[in-house]
This record gives sequence, C-alpha cells and structure tokens, in this order.
Amino acid sequence: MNTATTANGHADPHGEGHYSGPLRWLTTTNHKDIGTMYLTFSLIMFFVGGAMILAVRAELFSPGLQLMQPEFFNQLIGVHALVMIFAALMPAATGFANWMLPLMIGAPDMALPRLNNWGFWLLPPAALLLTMPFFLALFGIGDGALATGWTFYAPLSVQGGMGVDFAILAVHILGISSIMGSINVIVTIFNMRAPGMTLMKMPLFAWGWLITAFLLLATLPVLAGAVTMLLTDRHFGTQFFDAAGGGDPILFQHLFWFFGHPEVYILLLPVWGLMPHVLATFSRKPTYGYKAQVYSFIVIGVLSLVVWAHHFFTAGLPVPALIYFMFSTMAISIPLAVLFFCWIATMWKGAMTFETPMLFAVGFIVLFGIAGLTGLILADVAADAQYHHSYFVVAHFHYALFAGGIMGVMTGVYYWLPKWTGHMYSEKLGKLHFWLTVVSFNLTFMPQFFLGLAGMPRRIPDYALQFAEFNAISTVGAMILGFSQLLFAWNIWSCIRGGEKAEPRVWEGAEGLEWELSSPPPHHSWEIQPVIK
Amino acid sequence: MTDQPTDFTPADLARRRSAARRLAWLLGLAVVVIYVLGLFIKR
Amino acid sequence: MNTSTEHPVSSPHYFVPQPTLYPVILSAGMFMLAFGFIQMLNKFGAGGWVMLAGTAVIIGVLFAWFGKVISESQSGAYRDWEDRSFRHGMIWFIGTEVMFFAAFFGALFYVRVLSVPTLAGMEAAHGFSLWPEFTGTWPTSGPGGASFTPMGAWGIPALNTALLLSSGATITWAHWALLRENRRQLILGLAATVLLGSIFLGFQAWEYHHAYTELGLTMGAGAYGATFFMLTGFHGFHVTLGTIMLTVILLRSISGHFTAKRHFAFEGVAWYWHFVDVVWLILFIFVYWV
Repeated sequence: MNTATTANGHADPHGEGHYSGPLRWLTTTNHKDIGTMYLTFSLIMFFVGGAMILAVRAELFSPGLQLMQPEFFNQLIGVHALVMIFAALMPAATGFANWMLPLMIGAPDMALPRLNNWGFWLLPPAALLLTMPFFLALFGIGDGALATGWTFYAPLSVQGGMGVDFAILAVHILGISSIMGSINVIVTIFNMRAPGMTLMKMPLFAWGWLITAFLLLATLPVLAGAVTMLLTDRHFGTQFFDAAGGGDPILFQHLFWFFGHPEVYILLLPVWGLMPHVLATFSRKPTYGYKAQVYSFIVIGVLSLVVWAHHFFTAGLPVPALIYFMFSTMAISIPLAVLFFCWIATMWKGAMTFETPMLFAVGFIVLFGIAGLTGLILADVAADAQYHHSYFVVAHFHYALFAGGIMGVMTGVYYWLPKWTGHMYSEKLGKLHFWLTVVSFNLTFMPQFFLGLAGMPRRIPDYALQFAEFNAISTVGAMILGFSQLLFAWNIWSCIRGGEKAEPRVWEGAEGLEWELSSPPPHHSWEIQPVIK
Repeated sequence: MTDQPTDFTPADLARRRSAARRLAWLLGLAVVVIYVLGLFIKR
Repeated sequence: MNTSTEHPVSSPHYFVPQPTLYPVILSAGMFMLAFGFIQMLNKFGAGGWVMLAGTAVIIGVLFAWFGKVISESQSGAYRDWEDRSFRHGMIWFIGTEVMFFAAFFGALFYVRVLSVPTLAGMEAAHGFSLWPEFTGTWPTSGPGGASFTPMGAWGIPALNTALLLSSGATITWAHWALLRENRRQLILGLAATVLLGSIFLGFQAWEYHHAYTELGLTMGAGAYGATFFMLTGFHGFHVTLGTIMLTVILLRSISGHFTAKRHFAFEGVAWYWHFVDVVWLILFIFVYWV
C-alpha cells in the first residue's frame, strides 16, 4: 500500500494510496471505484432477476403447468421484483450518483467516503439473503424464498414460510444501504458544490437525485417499521395485522405503499434528471425549461408522498378516501406533463443526431408516455375496480419501470460509458441493442395490456385457454428481450477492454463540468474546485 | 472504428435542424387529425 | 492526549480517508447477525451462536472504526468543510429515525382511529359482526384478545418524563460549559445526563417486568400490547444507544477532547439525545396518557 499521506492525515493529492487487486475494491473510499462497483453489481443482478422472470414466462408460454409448481412460480415472481427494484435499478441509480455527482458539481469526492463504501458493501449480503432460501430448500431447509409477491401483504406473509424472514432481513439491510447512500448524496450536494454553483445552477441530474434522496430518507424507515411489525406478528405474538387483536391487514398495505409509491419516483427521478442532459447534448441546444423541471421534480416528490392508497383501491377504503387518492394521484400528471413538454421542447428545432443514448432517450419518452397514460386509467377508481390485480397493471408498471427506469439507466450508461472507460463503445452494437430491446419490449408487454383488459389476473401460473395466444407472443418477446441484453453486457465489456479513445468532451454538443475532465477522469477529480461564474 | 458519427459539418447540422422542425409539425398535425377524427367516433 | 490539537491548514483539500476494511467487516457482521437471527427463528443451524459471533464482529468494528475517526479528529484532519458534512449527515440521519418512529405512531393512530372503531361499529353499520359484544373502548386487546390491565400514566411513566426532561437540561448545561471551556462542569453535566438516562432505563425495565408479571400486559395483548411494547421498546433501545454514545462523549471529555470551537461529536450526540427526548414526550402523551 502506498501510504503517501502528509503529517496531518490528508491524502496526498498526487498519489493517495490504494491497494491493488481485490482488496482495492473491498477497501476503496473513492467515489469512482464505488460507483463502478454499484454499476457492476446492478448489471449482475439485472441478469439474475431476468433469469428468474424468463423461467416464469416460459411457464406462462401455454396454459397448464409445465415447468414448475405454483409455489415455486410465486417465489420466482416475488424475488424477481425485489431483485430488480432493490438490487438492479436502485444500485444503478446510486452508481450514477457516485460516479457523476462529484464530476458534475465540481466536488473532490463524495462527502462521506467511508460511509459510501459501507453503503455498497451492504448490498451483496442483502442479495445473498434474498436468494439463499432457494438454495437452502435444495438441502431440505425451509420451503424456498418468499412466495407472497414482492409486496408481502399480511396475512399471507404472516403465515408464510421462512423465505419471508429472509426477505424481511434483506429489506432491512437494503434499507440501511439506501439510507447511507442518500445521506451521502444530500450532504454532497449541500456541502460539496463548486464555489459559485448555486442550487439553481446545479445540473438537473443532481436535482433529480436530491429529490430521490429525500424520498428515500422519508420512506425507507417506514418500510423498515412495516416489515418489523410483520416480523413480530410472525414470531413474537403481536397483532398489528390481525383483526382479532384490533389490528388490520390493510394497515400493512398503508405502511407498505407509503414507501412503495414514492419508491416508483425513487426509481424514476434519477432518470428524469439525466434525460435533459442527453436530449440537450444530441439536439445541440440548451435544456428547455430548467426551472420548470426543477419545480416539477419538487412537486412530484411531495405529491408522491400523499397518494399511496391508489395501489389498493379495491381493498375496501371509505369513499372520501377513494376520491381524495384518485384526484391527488391524477394531479401528478400535471408536473409530469411539464417534464414531457420540456423534454420534447428541448428537441424542438434541434440539430438532432441519433447516437445510441439519444435513441434510448427518445424511446424512453415514447414508451414512458404510455406508462403515464395507462397510469391515469388505473388512477380512476371506477376503472381500477376492473383492472386491479390484472395483467393491465403488470404491463403498466413494466412500461414505467423497464421502459422508464431500465431504458433510462441504459441511456445513462451509453451516454457516460466513454467518460468512465475512456473508450468509445460500438455504435453498431448499441443501435442493434436498442432496436432489439424496443421491439421485443413492446412484443412482451403490449399484449399484456390486452390480457389485462380481457380479465387475466396477475401472479398465476395457469390461465384460461382464451389467453393462450397473447401469452405465447409475450413469452417470445420476453425471450428476445432477455437474451438481447447480452449484447448490452458484451458492449460494455468490450468498451472496458479497449476501443477508440474517447475525447474529454465525448459528445460534441455536451455541456457541463464532467466534460472538462479527461476520459477517464483522474483518480481524484476536482482536487482544486472549479469556480462557477 | 468508423461507425462513430462524431464530426458533422455546419450544413449537416442545419439540415438536421430543419428536418427536426418538419417532423415536429408533422407529428403535431397527426395528433390534431387523430383528435378531430375522435370527435366523429360514436361509442 | 491531553489537549486537542488544531492544525490551521491552508490547503483547500477535502479530507478523503485512506482505503479501509471496516465497512466490509461491518457488513459481514450484520449478515451473520441477520442470518443467525433467521436460523434462530426457524430453528435450524447454529442460530444463537451465529448471532453472537455477528454481534461480536459488529461491536469490534464499531470500536475500531469510531476509534479511527476519533484519532483522525484529534490529529486535526477535520476542518470546517468536513465538519459541515458531519453536521448535515447527522441531521438527516436523525430525520430517518423520526420517520422510523412515525411508522409505529402511524400504526398506533390507525388502530385507535380506524381499525378498532370500525370493528366495534360493524353491528351498527352492517347489521352483522363476528364480535357483536366488542365495544372498542381504548385501551383494548381487540375482540379476540386476552384481558389485561393497561399501564397508568402517572406512576413510573410520569417520573420517567421528568427524568428525560431534566437530562435534556443537564446536557444543555454541559454544552454551555463546553462553550465556556469549563471542563469540570462539562464532565459533571455529561455524567448527570448518563446517570439520568440509566435510571430511566432501569425504571423502564422494572415497568416491563411489572407489565408482564402483574398486569397481564404482553406483546400479545392485541393492538394495545403491540403498539405499547414496540413504541416503548424501540424508544428504550434508542435511549440505550444514546446513553452509550453519551458515555463515550463523557470519556472523551475526561481525556480532554473537544474545544469550544470544534466539538461536532458532542453536538451530534446532544441532538440525538434531544430527539430521543421529544419522541418520549409524544409517546407519553399518546401511549400512556390519552
């Protein structure tokens, strides 16, 4: 280890010691190393969660039970969701924050580097806890992972097997990880900005993440409380969710969705933050409506905390509550429409070129628009009585979280990959990946809207014959979608290995501090902070 | 690698600018047409 | 070390710590704790022993990690810029703690305002009830729960309120003493706070014993028992943490750490203590009193 420190413990600017080999990654306090670990972990878990759901889609290819028992099917869908949300999407966004926030706001590093390392290293144990019950069941211990769906509703989860305990503890650890990450982001943004960079001069990506971090701080502890009550109901005799003791199973749904709805925006706000950067770069125009977008982020953040009950309109809420939650939910479409307007207006009359990140950005706008519009349908109490718990919901939130969340992450990866690795990725492969993804994504999920409208319920391994054709189409689409992601992994891998050297300003229209540094940036970026005028 | 479209001439960019504007008007027109057609659809 | 050292450093560099193994080991310890807990609940594997090992690892790492932070602080590595980071970090951390308690208070208000009255009103509203006898007067263990005696507000709980409120005063006294560089009063004030916190915990333990052995009030006593023990239990856990933190601060004060200008650790712990104090007040009102 190179211990080049000065007497008072300050890292020497020209060679902060770090270990080599695996120890480097275990011990690093560098925001870029930690960002790389987050992104790598996210990519691996994306394939783990994807493999689970491909098994599910294979089972759903035709009616009847072919491949697995219903219990195992239920375990796969629940763990798929938890893995994709907590271990793929959230770490990807945190990876972006770690890599890009210090570069974009002119900070020497994240504000709390050791805490940053801890935030990442909590993830692998949690992922292990989530998936371990599958393997324990092979040795005759327990009956597999949680089989309740990712929402672990009481009373099913109170009665469920030990997979529920694993999921509860995993959620606790994931929650601590995200809280540490969020505190770090907030402190970094408030305390580490370059001199002269006022909040209203800050890049929109930082704004998106700031609101995300606040939402995480506000809601994750509530989820932790909810699953703690679940644990004590399961093992220590409390009756939070049992009517015989004066409790109520619906209480769990309230607590869960108080976290669960803001979670949607936690997954999306970082993406909304990076979108204007990409659109402005490839339209060669400044971002349209900076202030409007900032205010929309704030309004959406606040609204997302007070609309949670639209996830269980059919649970039997009083009518005034239904009406309140319907209108407050629909109100979110106003700031969201402002964002859409700003994205499109950024492209208006722009000299657009369609490199891979731009393709993903435009694809995101169209497909995420479908998610928003179908969300309005579900927000309608009367309509939701029909569509609740049907495949319409499944299609809706995959348009939101795959086309919105994951395609947004892919936009960011292609946009910043040359900055991270110092090499250009292959445009040909990138474009192929985009078109395969978009076409197969729609092939997978568009039929599910119609399945839902026709009345097919979600979370079942078997279904009526009338749904057979659309399910077969959906499965074919899912297989293409899943396997074409290998192109993505391959493209990233070969970009890390080598390729055409990237310029500091990778894209000719790109604006911002991150493009002033070399590609890849030095181990310590912005040791001397830039001054913003 | 030659598939990196990095350098565009000013003429290229001007052409793209007007193309983007034309496309936007076209899409806007399509939306209006669909809206007007919708007025005549009886449920 | 008898005096805290302040290096006036003109360099604008932010302190980025050297690579460290503490976080990875801490995560491993937490994994062992969680996995052992699951083993214990589901009766397989070595259960309690794994938990014990995990706890030992966690305590060991926390000692080493905080020790490292204290030595960095004493060597003058932290200046105003780093200090601001810690302050922001602590404030938002306490914010998450507030939301954690909000979940349990939310559950309490939900059962009191919504679920219990609804269960009691089934007969009137729908002409049908599984439990037509259930009146829903709070405190209750629900229509199917065991009978119990609720905890009165004006015995031990009122005394505990007085104890925590005075501990808030003593820590503020200690802070004033620190700002005036009066070390004797600083140590006295902190020692008094630790003492008051410990007496509080002793009373709380006695109260639990009383509830379980004489009142029939257990975690299984329906909605009242669940909310009572989870709220007071998590609060007590936080008081325990706060008392440990205060003890560390007391020992550091005795060894001469902290100056009137630079004492984030003291303030962080004081904020945490006030937070615990406020939670108790809300708890006293809504759990014990009304």
